[in-house]
Amino acid sequence: MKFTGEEYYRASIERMRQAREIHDSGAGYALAMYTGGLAVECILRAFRWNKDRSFEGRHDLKDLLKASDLLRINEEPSRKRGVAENERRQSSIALHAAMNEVVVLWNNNLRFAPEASLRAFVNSIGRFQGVKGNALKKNSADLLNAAQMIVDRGGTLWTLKKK
Amino acid sequence: MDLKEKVALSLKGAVADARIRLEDDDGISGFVVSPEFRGMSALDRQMLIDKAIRNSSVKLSKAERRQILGIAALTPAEFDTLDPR
Repeated sequence: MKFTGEEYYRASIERMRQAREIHDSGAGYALAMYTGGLAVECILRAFRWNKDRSFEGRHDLKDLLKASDLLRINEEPSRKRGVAENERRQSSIALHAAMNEVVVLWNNNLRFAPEASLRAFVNSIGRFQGVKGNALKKNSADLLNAAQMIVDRGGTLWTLKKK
Repeated sequence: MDLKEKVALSLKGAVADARIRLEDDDGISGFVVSPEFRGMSALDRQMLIDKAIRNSSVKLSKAERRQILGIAALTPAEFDTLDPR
């Protein structure tokens, strides 16, 4: 199956919603996290498709990161709206932090991971420390919140491009 | 000194025990790996990187800073779990 940029964009929104539903149901945090990362991959593919329609990228967020223009914050609309430079800078840092979180927590092999393996993975990177309550749920929420910020940013840019 | 080298130098000056892997493919992207990031939130990590680039002894122009796509800050344990390249 081949998709257009618009289809990738719509898929990013659907995957984000589905990730939230799986997370909220408690049915499986590995699948919730995998689906959240997929939402990010979809929005990055949407922008990558705009640049190169022959793009047949792998499931590798790092490759997609460097292939996309999503993180080149277009400051012109913000500047014209009178948004202060410091506020634009903080917005940019927050977006990069969200991408950092996805790089840390998402892995293409999460789709194969039983919850016990996810637990071992999250523990191995020190993400259990200081967490009270359900550590898997907390880390799943961290990833989904980061993914949401990226998908939202991508959605805003995508909508602006269409105008 | 090209942009990739400037960015690497900026990061080395601000992050202890840093291993840096950058690529320049129509923009700079990559990783900075350091035990210094243990226990540090993603936001604090990116603020550190932002400060390192802005306050570097090797001056980067606004145009050069716009060429920096994304640099992930990882601990050694986090880097080891990434998909093999």
